Amino acid sequence: MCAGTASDRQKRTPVTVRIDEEAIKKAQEALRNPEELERFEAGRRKKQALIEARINAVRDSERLTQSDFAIRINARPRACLT
Amino acid sequence: MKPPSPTVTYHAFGKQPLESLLRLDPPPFTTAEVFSQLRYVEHYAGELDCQTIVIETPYIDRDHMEDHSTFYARNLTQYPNFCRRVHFFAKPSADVRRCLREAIEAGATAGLNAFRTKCSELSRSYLGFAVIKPLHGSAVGRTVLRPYPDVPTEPDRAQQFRRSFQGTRLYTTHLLGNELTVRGLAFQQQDAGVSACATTAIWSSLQKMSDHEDISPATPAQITALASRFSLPFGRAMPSEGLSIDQMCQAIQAMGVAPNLLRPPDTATAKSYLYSAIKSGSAPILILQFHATYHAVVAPGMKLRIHGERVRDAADRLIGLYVHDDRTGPYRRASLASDGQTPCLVIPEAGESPESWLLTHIIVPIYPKNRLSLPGLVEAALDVQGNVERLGELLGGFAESLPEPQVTVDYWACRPHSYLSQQFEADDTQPDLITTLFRTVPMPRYLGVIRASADWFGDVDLLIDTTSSRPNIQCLAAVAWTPNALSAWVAESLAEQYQCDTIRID
Repeated sequence: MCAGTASDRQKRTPVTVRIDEEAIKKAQEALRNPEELERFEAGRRKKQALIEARINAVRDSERLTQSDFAIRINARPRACLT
Repeated sequence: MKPPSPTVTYHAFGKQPLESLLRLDPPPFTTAEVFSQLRYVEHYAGELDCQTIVIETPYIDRDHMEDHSTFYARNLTQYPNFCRRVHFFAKPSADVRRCLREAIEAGATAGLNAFRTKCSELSRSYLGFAVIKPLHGSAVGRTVLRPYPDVPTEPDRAQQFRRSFQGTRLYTTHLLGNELTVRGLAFQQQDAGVSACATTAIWSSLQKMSDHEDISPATPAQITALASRFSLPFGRAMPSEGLSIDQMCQAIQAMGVAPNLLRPPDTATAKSYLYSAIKSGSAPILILQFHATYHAVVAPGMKLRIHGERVRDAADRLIGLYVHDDRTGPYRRASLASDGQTPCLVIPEAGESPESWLLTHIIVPIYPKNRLSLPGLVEAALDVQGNVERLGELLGGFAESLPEPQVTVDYWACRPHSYLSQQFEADDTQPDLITTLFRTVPMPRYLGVIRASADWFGDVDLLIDTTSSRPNIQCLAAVAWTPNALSAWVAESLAEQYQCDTIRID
């Protein structure tokens, strides 16, 4: 549904933090290690708990009741007497 | 009986108020305030540096013709079924006349391409048009005006924010045989006969939807009729007594579009939905409340902060909206604020204290097969953010240069070809990456895009099949747009987590 206006123009996020190859390799290897992987998953679940309030708000926004649908929308211009 | 003879007149902008130029008189029981929408349109054209007004008579407007045949033709006092149309140009009158003449001459002597070139040259100074209906109490009909520029013209403001009018589309108009184009979103004032604010808001929003899908643009009369087909909770349909949210959803559904109805409980959630909807090229309908009164407006554009600290959610950059408010005019500036937990929209009033409306609901018309609702997309984005930040923390354990791996998420939906054209706008897009993506990944009609960005890896997109829905969301690919090892690693990790392919440069 994108409009294709000039506002779409997004430059890539510049990479300003340089990380040496060795650290990347170690991180990759760590994810292959079952113990590290378990720690990673635990950390991920902890993060999930932190954003739970946000996710609950998102889910709340879809919980609509009959009273939402019955709201009458009929604001009139100020100059209109009817 | 012959149709009225066509006339085109040229006027210098600002010499005479538009209402007197058009010889409009307030109907009985109203005051001159009844022209407030027309005055707003005139004022707005002035803000766009309008220099010339061209008035075209008669103009056959489909919306008015339909409203006329449904409602006004049955009046004892007859109204014409034709309108007038006012065109606005940011050029002196003599230049507009010359350009209109030159385009025809170029076409006649050098062919169609020369004609089109001249027309597009003139379109650069074309600000749009307003249809003037023969109803003096609600004269402003279909009005398409160019929005404010994306980059503010004042240097200090240009340092602070950008505008994004992705809820607008291109309109083509014809004047004296010339073809002119203008980007905007159609506005009109409510006439309280065929339409109230709810109908007008649906009408504006669906104008944008027809830019994506082959839906026939609905007229206000059709929308009100579709809304009141199955239920009349407030009595007669016309003169319009307003619509319920239920009726609004019914009308949208009847037009072949799905209404995604949301009730944001707080400002952060409201920002997420509004940002994502407008970025996805929709013009969301906002339901507002002021004491016991409910109102509907449409937001074709937004104001995004560009200075200050990095944000974790791209929607946090949203500081304001530009709304079509049929009680006053198009592209009204509004800021987002909070009343306790409840989001509210503050609309400044000239010479008066600002109006503060509670934002109670948002309706986003979406393509029916786009089953992934905005909440589904936002929830998925939050999950992706958590995963990528955790990867950063893991990496930080081995790299001293990464003390705090903050990740920004951005999220929107778009057609695959639009996603492709967005990549062309970026400075270091690898052609091989695009070829691989489109050769190997099956594309739905709409893609859900979640972009994770950080200064330690660049940009990685997770592409989602929007025909899937919670709890069975299907991911299509994780794309490492930044050509480096970390971006590839983040994409691979996301692909593994979300069971999809990795697209990266080896």
